[in-house]
Amino acid sequence: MRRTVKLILVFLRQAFMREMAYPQNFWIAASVQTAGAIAQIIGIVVLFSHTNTIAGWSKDAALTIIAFFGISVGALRMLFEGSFKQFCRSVHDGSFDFSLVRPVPLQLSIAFQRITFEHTGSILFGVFLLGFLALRGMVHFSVEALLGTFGFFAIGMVIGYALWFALTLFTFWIPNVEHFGYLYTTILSISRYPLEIYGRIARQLFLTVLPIGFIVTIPVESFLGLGTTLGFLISIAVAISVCGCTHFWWRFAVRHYSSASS
Amino acid sequence: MKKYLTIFQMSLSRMLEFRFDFWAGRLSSFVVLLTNYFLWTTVFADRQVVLGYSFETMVTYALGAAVLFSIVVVSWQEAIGWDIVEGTMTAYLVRPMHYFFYTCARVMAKRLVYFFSTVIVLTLFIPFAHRFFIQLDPWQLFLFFLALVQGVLLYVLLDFLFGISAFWFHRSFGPRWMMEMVLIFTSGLAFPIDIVPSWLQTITFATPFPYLVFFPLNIYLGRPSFGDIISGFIVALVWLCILLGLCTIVWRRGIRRYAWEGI
Repeated sequence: MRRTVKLILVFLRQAFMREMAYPQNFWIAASVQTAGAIAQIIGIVVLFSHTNTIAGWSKDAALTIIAFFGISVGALRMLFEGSFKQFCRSVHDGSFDFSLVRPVPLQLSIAFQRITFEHTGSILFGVFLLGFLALRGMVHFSVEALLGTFGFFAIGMVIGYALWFALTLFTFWIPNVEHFGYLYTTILSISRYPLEIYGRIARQLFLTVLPIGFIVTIPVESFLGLGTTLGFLISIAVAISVCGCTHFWWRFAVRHYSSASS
Repeated sequence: MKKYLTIFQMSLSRMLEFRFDFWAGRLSSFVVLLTNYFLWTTVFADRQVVLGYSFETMVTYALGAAVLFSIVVVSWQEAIGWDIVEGTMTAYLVRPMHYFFYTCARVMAKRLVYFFSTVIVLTLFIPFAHRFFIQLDPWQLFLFFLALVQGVLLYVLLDFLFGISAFWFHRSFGPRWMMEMVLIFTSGLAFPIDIVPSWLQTITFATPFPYLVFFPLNIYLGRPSFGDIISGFIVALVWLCILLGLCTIVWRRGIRRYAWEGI
């Protein structure tokens, strides 16, 4: 465990050094992310200027979703987007050979090999918005709810990683999966709004078959004091199932890797 | 002309080379359209008019904005930036063609593929067709088409102008992202521009950005008066001339600054 943490810290340090080579890029990317988040907030404010609730969610609750969406999806993109792109490239140019022979847990190095800070803007904006909502008393939460939310958030991140990794593994068969990452982040954008707007069946779908609801919606519900112990246990069960399926899929997929030089 | 047509054909082939990847991208746009559709269906569940839009016009606007954005805002800036930074532009400069028309041919191929794939994606919405605003007035459709062509030309020039800023900025990162940021707010993608305060509308309409998505879409919906349409076309035309002039000046200065060695 200590070694894993140490390795992740090494990847983080490398990423930070790489990012600092072009510091302006970081600030510009952060500005664009912030602009995107502001556009979403304007959208919510405009929507709620004529109504008090949408699908049973108040304006403050909808803004909480926007904040959590920024944090969760921003964190997923920061940690894994660059790494998975790098992984796809390495499979196609054969440099994945080097990863296979390194004395480092393979999935760990694939997941964290290229952390990028481009999405830090949306994470910081999400945190700022949550803080603002809490300070203004627009959302009420307890310490227990906050701890529960952190647990739900961590589980959501695990599920988010596993789903993305499973999709990326198609790279062993399909030469160019550049848009697959885009497709995944677009699918995640479904959770930018309350899942209730898609109807009851769709909500069940997003909590079972394609469990993206656990990445944003369920942590938000916990934050708003709607989380339950049963819900927490179900989340863990879903995370274990998704990770298990992804692991089997990974073992099957990696057997199809043929080095570019062999 | 024949050489640009050949580049166009080659670009088409390259676009369709990785079909799975391509359709993954298209599926993404379908997801965006579907999300918008469900959002507005919920918002209009218990009311007839929101922000001056009926359900039909708002849903058509939301979907139309996403569709037009994917057709009009097709960028080649990153490739231009790479060509300048990596020095590969040299290879194009010595060929008997102009780099601007070369990029136009390539980006038009990309745009054509996006257009037809968007049409395919839109066919999935046929079962919901009765819930959309369908414009049947041929005159209005003609003006919409004209505004769309004008929007495409405006974006081609904007894209090229920001792309060749890589002569001064590293891979044109800064200007490119800045433009993305401005486009989110002012093109009409995020929300219709006519719902913002009038002073902000006046400022926005003085820029070329609303003529990319909002202006053509608004004509399709039959919302602006004839006078507004004419003044819109004139402002966009003035911007076309300004951007054409700017592209020429910036290109000439950039080429003078451009240096390459060892290729």
